[in-house]
Amino acid sequence: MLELGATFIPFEPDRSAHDGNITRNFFDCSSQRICTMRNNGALGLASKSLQNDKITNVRTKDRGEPSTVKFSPDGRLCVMQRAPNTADIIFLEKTENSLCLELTVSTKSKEPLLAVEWITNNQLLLVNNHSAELLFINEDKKSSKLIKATNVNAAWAIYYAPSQLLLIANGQSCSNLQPIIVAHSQFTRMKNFEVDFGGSISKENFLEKDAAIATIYGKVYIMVFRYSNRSATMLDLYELPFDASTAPQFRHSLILGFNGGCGIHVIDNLVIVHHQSSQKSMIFDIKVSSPSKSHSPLVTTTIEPHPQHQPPPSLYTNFWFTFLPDVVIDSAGGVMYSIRLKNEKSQLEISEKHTMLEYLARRRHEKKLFIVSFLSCLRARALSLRQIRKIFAMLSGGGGAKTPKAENSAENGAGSALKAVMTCEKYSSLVVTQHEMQSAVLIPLREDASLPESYVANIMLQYLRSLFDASITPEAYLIEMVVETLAEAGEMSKLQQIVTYRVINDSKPLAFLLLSYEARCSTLFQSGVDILARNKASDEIVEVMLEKKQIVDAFRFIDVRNLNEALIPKVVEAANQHCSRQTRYAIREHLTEKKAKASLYKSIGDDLYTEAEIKEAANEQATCTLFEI
Amino acid sequence: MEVEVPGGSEAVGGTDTGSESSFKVSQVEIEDVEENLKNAEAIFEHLEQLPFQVFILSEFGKPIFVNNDRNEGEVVSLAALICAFVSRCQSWGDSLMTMTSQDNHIQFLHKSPLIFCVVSKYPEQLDQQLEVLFEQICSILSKSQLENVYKKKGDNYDLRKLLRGTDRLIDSSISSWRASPINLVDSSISAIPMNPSDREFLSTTMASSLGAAKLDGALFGIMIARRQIAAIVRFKKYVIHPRDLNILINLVSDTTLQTDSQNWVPICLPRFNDTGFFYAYISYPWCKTDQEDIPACLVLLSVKRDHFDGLKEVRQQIVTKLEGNAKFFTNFSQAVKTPNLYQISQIGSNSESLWSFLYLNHSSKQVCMSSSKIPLITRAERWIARCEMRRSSSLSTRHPHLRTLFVRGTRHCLFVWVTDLFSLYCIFGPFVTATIAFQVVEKLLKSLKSHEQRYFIINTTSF
Repeated sequence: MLELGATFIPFEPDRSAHDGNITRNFFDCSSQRICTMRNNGALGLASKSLQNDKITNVRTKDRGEPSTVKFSPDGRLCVMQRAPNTADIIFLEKTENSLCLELTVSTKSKEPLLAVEWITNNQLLLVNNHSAELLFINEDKKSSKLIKATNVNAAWAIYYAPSQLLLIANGQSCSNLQPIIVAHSQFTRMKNFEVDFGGSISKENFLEKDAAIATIYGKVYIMVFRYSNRSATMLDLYELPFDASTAPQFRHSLILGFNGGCGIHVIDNLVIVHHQSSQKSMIFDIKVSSPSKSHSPLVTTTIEPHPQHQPPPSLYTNFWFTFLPDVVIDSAGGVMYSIRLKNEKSQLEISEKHTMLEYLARRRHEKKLFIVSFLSCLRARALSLRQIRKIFAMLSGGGGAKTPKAENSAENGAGSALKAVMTCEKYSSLVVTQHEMQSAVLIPLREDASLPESYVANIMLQYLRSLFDASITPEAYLIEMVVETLAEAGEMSKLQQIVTYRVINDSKPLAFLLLSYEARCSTLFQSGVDILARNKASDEIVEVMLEKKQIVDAFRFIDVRNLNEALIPKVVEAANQHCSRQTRYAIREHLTEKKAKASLYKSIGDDLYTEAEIKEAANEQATCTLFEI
Repeated sequence: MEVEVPGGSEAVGGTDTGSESSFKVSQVEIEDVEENLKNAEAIFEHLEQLPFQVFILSEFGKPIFVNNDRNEGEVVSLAALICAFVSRCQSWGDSLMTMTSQDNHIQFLHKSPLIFCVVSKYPEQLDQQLEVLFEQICSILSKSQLENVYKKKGDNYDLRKLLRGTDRLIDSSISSWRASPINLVDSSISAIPMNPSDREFLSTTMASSLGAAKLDGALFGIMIARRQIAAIVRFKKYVIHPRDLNILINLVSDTTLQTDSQNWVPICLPRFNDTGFFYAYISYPWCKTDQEDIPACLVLLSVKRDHFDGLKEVRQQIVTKLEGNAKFFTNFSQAVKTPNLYQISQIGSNSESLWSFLYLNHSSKQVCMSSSKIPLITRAERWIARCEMRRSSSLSTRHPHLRTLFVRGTRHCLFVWVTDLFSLYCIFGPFVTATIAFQVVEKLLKSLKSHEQRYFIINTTSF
């Protein structure tokens, strides 16, 4: 399920040649660039990235071996730390063919630097164990200026560029973490918190290498390895709140179950832990529901190299360095790879279909794959109705959309007190529109003759329900299809219910659809008429009544609704065709009484009863003549 | 009863051999039943075609009367089947009342020693119909005779010997009950509409003539025309039940009696006394006279067998007195020839929507019905309206708490109003609203009240 090297870039591996030439490579996490330095820059400094082909190639003075190399976001400046307590800023652009100009900066206290990071293109953050300082670098004047400083007590510090988050460790065993947001030339302290790293006599301090920061599903997590003698190693996830007043909280615990060297990646909101000795990679999805905060791996798999690498590179070697989010650097081979998910294999790797579908639905750019898989699962009847409903709810945003909304409103409602100080990449859940759902899933299901209609009807009902739960108005075409399918499946009672309880909105086409099903379920006819009545579609109701030869009822309806006279000739015409003489007489009398225009009912005629039969009837009645029919 | 009808005697003759059958033969009949049960479907199919089928049989399965001229074999087997049903239920200490199969309703009545059964499409009032039939038979034989006859002559006695020639009366009793518009509601009678003064003259004339004759035992005098009562007079406080009156009406409507001769008929009026006999002096004084045929019938009832001559004189007196009053006689003959029924237009404005009504006074059991009105003209049209009234009547008997009912049908609207004093059944046009219907009905009641004496016999004159 994991593939190595769909994108890759080669570089010159580290080397200490006998001729005195030294090649050193540095990886800049913030800008995701690998930087190759030959002879400490004297023979060249090249930086490459997987994201773009732009290769920076400059030469600098050889002023000793640097410990870090970091590029500003626009790639115009570079900072190197050649001495413990100073950092050198190298202006890359200005000197094409000669040596670069340099500027040396340090903190006020000249203490050894713990971290040097670019905040913006011209703001540099320096952290030592007493303070954090923000410098402004003037590119033109080649000068620096202190903008802001704050006192911190730092054992070590890591910086997470996407959220401009500086995490400082202090305290007795360095397990007290202080997140600071460095934005808008300000330091904003967030609530500090304690992490449990499984400290023991053999492991007194919490180390920088045991912590990492990543954004998962729109939230920033600090990932901490927790070692334990008794149980297996865990990777604990602490969620950082967006505001400064809430303390970060322990959210998830990923059960790794091994000891030894490993690397972490966070790809597409999945936490992937590569274990070197077992040559296995574990994929965790924290959204997979779990009864406790602990998560077992969703998938345990092995990385496969991309076929373009021939011969295939060896995997899980000692020379591998992994960097967040998805970078693998083979320091021996001199190649930087990216790792990517091969979701199309998830059908094989994840046995539980609904888990697999939920997994796919959460992946980025996998809508097509998801829909195809979903359809095939439905066709194979591999899901229970409850599972189908859950998936629909996910897609309709029933569960997904509501919660963030609620959270947003909570944040907004609390006003400026809970103002977000941190930003991160937003996660947007997969949204499948009704149209897509209909054309890609529901219609193929309906057309599949091998599936029982009631099954398809039930699936549609679940979809309708999910829309309803998410307060989404179902489109007319969808409703039409649901109604048709229900009718075909013979689920008349269900159809009746969704109409009666107004689950689906009234519309004239729906009403006519229901009317057409009268033969199969007579009560639906009334439902259809009811809808028409609610829509005030009086003319149509009269038409329907005439169609049903309910002429007297049609007249009564016209009376009750005070409809215009235009309908009367039509009704009279129908009466002439279908009604008994008695009823036609009643209609004529009624119209006379209503003082309707005589022309409207002229066609009924005045000669319904002959004198002779009237006389005979009077005589029979008066003489109590016996008769029986 | 001295009238013989060829058809009647033939039927009796056909079964005479059967009446001699021994006990063994009746066992064979039961076997026939079993056979017939297999063919039951065919028979019931045939029954379904008929609107109405009556069976009267003895407790021992002997057929006594069947209408609709059915063949003898089928009658015998069906009679045995009915008898088996009834006696089976009786053996459980229960009594079989009714059976229903889709549109077929079968009603049973077991009045020892007779069993009555009717099969009909219309379920309403079948029980009362059977009681009327029982009373009709009582009126010929009297109840005590009926009970004694089997004791004396044995269980296998064929009662048809005693009822010889009266099939016609039973038949007409059935059809008058079913087909007469008057009998729609319960057992009621209708007064022929007359001017109050004319009716007064008629009844006082009858009363005075009967009173003057001083015949001890002459109790009632009744003038009947067109199945309606013109006048009734009585001796002191004796009263005659409407059901008994209907038996009389049924008797005098028999066309074979309608000659200018006089009839002296023994008749039992079971509601009055079901053990004894009246002697009815029946005459049609103006039947086929030289002037005009006035279809009026004078019935004088006495308990004495030898009153024939006395009543003949009374009749002559009454006729002379009535004919003597020319003004009355003109009015009377007119009223009797074509009774002038209540016209709905009499109600006044807005009454067009009322098509037909039937008013029943509960205390006097007299009905007033409207004359025919467009659009209820053909027999079919009137029959439907009539059935509707019959149904609502039986509905109000079954549900005594039902007071008013308004039903909007596709053909017409039905309005029923039942109080302690009266029941009113109205057929309105389909477009009437309940409010308007009620207004019309209130006007109708007012109008009926003001013309009460014209349409009802309020006081029965006594002598």
